[in-house]
Amino acid sequence: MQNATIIWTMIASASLTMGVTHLFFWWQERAKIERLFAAISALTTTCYSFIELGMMKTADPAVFGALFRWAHVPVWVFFCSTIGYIYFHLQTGRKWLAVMALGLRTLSLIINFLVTPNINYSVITSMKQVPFLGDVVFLPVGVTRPVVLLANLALVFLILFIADASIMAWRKGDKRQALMSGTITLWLALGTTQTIAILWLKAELPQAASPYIIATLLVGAFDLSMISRQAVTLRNTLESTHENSRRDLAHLGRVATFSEISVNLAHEMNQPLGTILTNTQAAQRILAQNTPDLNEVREILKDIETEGLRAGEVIKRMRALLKRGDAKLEQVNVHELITGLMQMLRNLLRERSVVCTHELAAVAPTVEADAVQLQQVLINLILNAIEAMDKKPPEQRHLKITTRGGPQALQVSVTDSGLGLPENVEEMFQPYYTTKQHGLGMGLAICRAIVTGHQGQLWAEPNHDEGSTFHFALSAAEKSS
Amino acid sequence: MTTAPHVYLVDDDPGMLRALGRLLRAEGFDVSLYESARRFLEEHEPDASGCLVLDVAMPEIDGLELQRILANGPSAMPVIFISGHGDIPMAVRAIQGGALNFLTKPVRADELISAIRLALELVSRRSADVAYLSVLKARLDTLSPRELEVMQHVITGKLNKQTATDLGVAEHTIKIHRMRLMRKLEIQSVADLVRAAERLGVAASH
Repeated sequence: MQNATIIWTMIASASLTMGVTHLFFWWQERAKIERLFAAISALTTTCYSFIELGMMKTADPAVFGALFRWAHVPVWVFFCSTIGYIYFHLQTGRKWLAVMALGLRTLSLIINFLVTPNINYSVITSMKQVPFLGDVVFLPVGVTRPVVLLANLALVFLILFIADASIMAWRKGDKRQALMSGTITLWLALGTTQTIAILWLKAELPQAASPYIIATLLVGAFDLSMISRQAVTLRNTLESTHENSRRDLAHLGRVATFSEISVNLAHEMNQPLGTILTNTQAAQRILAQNTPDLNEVREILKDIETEGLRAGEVIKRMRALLKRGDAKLEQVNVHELITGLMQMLRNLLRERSVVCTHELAAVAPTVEADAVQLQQVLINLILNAIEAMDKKPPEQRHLKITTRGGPQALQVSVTDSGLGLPENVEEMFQPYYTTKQHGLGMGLAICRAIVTGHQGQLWAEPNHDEGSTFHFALSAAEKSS
Repeated sequence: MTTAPHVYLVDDDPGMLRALGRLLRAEGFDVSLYESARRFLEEHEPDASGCLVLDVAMPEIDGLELQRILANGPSAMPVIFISGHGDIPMAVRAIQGGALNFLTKPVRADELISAIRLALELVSRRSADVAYLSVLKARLDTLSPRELEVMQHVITGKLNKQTATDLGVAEHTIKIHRMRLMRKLEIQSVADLVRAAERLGVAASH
């Protein structure tokens, strides 16, 4: 069995893949220098894991010694790139720890090349076969060189540097990065422990650091991919800017709608004001009498109060219609909404000689929606219906509003007796579709956007006899809340 | 049987209707309130007299429509319109339909009250006229055929002599007939006689 060969080759190819990927991303966004360091770490690991495999598979002490000596080169590079990665990724870390780690490592690298066969061993007498991961590998038999402690110390400083930087990052609030880097220290610590165990405790294990190193690489790669996720989040934010423009569009639609019904609203305002004025004039006359009927005056004041509130309601509705704001989901009683709306449009309907009937579900359905937007959809549908009936003789203008509510879904239908639908019904819902002379052509497009935004559906169909019906369906609100 | 000046108010806004009712009652008018044209048509006395204050915009039958219905009926009351958003074509239609006034909401009390006073004055003048006419008719019926003939000649401006020649009688006889008919009709001057003849539909002879 060649398990070790297979695993080490896999590690090598995995790190190569990671390295190339990191390099690619770094090339795309060169300001992200930590990616470059991650790439170097990964590519170095590829190198290192092949050397390690060679060390495991050679029966020649001389070859082993030479390979081990050369293994220090990628390890040194790995040190540099890891420190660079941590430093630039976490944007923190104590420099002296990094300098200590790198300095000791550099020193041990120099010593490594000054002595024979390497810094780890002063002498390697022979190789012995041991089973490892279901494979057979060779271990050196020899004497550990004490100065290798320098290299081990460098590892400890590296771990300290990363751990320290992670803690500082955590304190800074970069919790995810801190956790990830903290995990790197764990893997490095495990690797270091193993190295020390082999060198000093004569553990019957090959020099097998690659799995730990690849683990740190994986952690790093995962962390960096989270940054890409942040990029995705940024894209989502951009998309929500689209959402914003949709909101603006909805607002624009409301303004257009408002200007259509503003005359009507002005009249609606005039009504309570007129009533208040007339009541006041009546009260003045009553009070001027010799025996004023104070009960009557009291009644008058009560009426004035009611009318004042009514005027306030009109203002509130107008403001709601013109308000530009985020969609606010709330429990909306659709029947109340319809009733309020009909009050608002009462005069308009009357002016256009439209008779409006309701067929409302027995139980008032509640939906979770933005009341203002929902109202906008209804106003638009009603205005369209009125428009569609303009060419009909007055006695044939019938508008019907139907609600049908189940426990799951609510359907509101606006039926007119107008001229019907165009051949291609869907085309009405496209932007800039209009039959009006001064229309924006956005009404139905906006309506559909709003209803879709509420996870609902808006569609139109011709009636059996004449005219058309626009339906929209929304899911009813949870009753549990 | 003279009743207090009566005002019929029709407005579909209950608050406005009440307010107008209070105002006019405070001014001493007798007021009846109706929330719709239909209610008014169903409930008011057919021979009622007074004036109508109508809201223009109302569901089902609007003010202008009610005016038309009433114009075709027996009792033609003067109409004052109150409109929330009156435009000129609407006002023109109302006035052409015989409306006395067209006021816009919010309506000024003085304006409305003087319009109603004017309308009621017209009503009473008209009813006095009608009463006088019926009296005159009754008096006309008391004239003899010959007296009526003489009257028809007099109102053309003919002299007694010409009339006598036309009728083939003596001038003196004409004088007596003329004196009698004037007394019966209780009219002093020829001018008044001409006016009465006109209103009674007595044709002049040629």
